[in-house]
Amino acid sequence: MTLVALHHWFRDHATAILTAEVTRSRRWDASVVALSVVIVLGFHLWIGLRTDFVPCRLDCGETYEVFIQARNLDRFGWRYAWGLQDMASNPERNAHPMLYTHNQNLTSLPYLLLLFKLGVREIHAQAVWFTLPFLLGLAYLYLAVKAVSHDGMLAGLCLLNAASLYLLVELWGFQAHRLWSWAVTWGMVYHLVQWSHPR
Amino acid sequence: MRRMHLGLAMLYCGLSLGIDYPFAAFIAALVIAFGWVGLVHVPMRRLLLIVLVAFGVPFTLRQVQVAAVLGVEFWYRDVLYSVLRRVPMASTFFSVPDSLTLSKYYEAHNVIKWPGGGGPVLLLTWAFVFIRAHVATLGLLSLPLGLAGVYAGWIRHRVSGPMRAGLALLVALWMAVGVTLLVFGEYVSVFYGVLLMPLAVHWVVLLLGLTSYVLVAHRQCISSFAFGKRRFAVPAGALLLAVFVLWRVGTEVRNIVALPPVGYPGRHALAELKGHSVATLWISSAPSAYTDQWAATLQTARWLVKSPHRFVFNPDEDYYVFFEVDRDNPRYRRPDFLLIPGLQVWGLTRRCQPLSGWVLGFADGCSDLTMPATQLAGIPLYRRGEDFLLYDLRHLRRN
Repeated sequence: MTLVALHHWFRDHATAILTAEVTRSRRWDASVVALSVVIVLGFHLWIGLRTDFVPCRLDCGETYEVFIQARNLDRFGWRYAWGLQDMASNPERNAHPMLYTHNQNLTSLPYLLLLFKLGVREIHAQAVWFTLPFLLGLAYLYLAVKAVSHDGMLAGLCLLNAASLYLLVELWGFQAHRLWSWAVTWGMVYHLVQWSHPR
Repeated sequence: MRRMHLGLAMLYCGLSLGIDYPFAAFIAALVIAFGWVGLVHVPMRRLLLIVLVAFGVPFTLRQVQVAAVLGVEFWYRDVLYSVLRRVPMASTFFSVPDSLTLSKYYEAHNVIKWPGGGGPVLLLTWAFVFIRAHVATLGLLSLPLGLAGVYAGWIRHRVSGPMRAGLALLVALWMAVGVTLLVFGEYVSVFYGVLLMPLAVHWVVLLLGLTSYVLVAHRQCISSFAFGKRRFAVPAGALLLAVFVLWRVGTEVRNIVALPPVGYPGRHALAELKGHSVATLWISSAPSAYTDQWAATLQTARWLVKSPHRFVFNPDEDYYVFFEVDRDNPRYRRPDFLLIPGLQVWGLTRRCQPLSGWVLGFADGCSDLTMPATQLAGIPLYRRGEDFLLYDLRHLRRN
C-alpha cells in the first residue's frame, strides 16, 4: 500500500467517523445544558467564596487597575482627563492624572463606573457583579455554536467543556478585564451568523 | 431583525478594542476567516467594510481623544513608538529610542510607558511557548487531539452534518489565533500563552466540544477482533468516551490541586490601613484598592540589603512604573507600610514550579518569604500571614 493510498484509507475512515450524528433529543440537549449550568455556578460560587470573588492564582492585576481607573472617574468626573484612563491612586487631585493612552477600555471600565454610581463601591462587592457578563458570554457560546451547527447537543457539549475548564475559563470569569472575552467573541459570532443566515 | 444582528455584531467587534489590540486583531481576523471558510454568505468586500467600520470608528475616536488631550505631536510619536514596540516585524525595519529616553519622554507628558516590547522576530519560539503552556494546562493528550483537530479541519469539506460547520468554525478560530500570534508575537506568547489569558481557549473549547460530540455519537460502537480461534467484541466507543471523560476530570482535578483558588495576599490586613501609603512588590493598584491611598511598586528587592535607613526611596530609581504625577513630592520617599506578598515576583526565592513552570500564575504559592523575613527582622511587623509580610515603616520615621 503506497503512502497516498494509506492516506486515502485514513481520510475515508476519518470522514466516516466525523460524519456521525448524535440522535436528536431535546431532553438530552436540555440535560447537558443543565449540567453545564450547575458546574459553572458551582465552580463560580466555590472560587468566589474562597477568594472574595477576586482570585489571584493566575492574575488579578488588571482587576485592581481597572478598579482604580473607575474610582478616579467616579471621584473626579470625566472632564479632568477627558475620559482617558488615569492610573494614579492618590485621593488628592494634584497627583492626577497619570494617563494610559493606548486602547480605550470599553467594557470593564464603564461597567465598574456604573457600579460605583449605583453605590457598589468596594472591589469585592463589585466583583460579584462580574458574574453577569461572564454568564452572558457563556450563553453566547452556546447560542453561537448552535447557530453555526444547528445542533443543540454539539452546542451543549461545547458549553459543558467550557464550564469544566478551571484554569482556562473559570478563573478568568472573575478577572474584570478578560472576562469580557467570552461575550465579545461568541456574541460577535452569534450575531454575525444570525445576520448572514436569517431564518 | 437583521440590522439588529449586524449592529450587535459590530458593537462586539468595537468592544474587543477594550480588551487589548491583539484581542481586537483576533476578532477582526475571525470575521474575515468566517467569510473565507464559508460560515457567512456575504461577499468578502462587505466583510472587509464591516471590519473597517466596526473597528475603525472606535479606534479613530480614541486617536482623536488622545490627540485632543495630549497634542498631535505626542499622539503621533506615541502611535509610532507603540506600533514599533508591540509589532515585532515592524521593529525589524525601524528603530525606537532606547528605553530610558522613552521613559523620560512619557514621564514628561504624565503618560504611562509600559515596559517590554521591541524584541526580535522569533515566530517558532513564540508558537512553541504558546502551545507548551496550553499543553501543560490540558495534559499531553491535548497535543495529538489538537493535531487531529487541524487534520479534521483540513478534510471538513468531505464531512457532512453538524460536524462540518463545527469544523469550519474550528478552522476560522485557528486562523484568527495564528494571525494574532504572527502580528503581535512575544506579547501574545506571554500574555495569552504563559499567562493563559483567554484567546486560544475559544479554539480549545470548540475542539473539546467537537471531540465529545464524536465520542457520544459513537458511544455504542463495538469493535470485534479474532484472537486465535476465538472472536472478541469490545465496546470501543464507550471505552474511548470513558477515557476522554477520565482524562478531562483527571486534568482539572490536577490543576485545582496544583493551583487552588486564592485571593490577593494580605487583603484583609490592607483593608485596615485606609489612608496609609504602601510600598510593595508586584502591582501597586492592589494595595491602593484597599487603602485608597498611593502605593508604589518597588523596582527590585535590592533595598533588602541596604543600610538601616534604606526605607527612604527615590521614586525615579526605586519605583517601577510610578503612577503619581507629583512624583517630586517628598512624601513619596517614605511609604507608611511595606507589603511583601508571596507572589511570583522577581527577587523572591521559589520553592516549587507548578505545571513544570510553563504557566505563570502570580499567586502560585511557591514564593518563599523566609529570606525577606530574615533580612527585615529588625523592622516592626504589623501583620504576617502564610503568604504575606506587612511591615510598619512609620516606626523608623519616628526614630
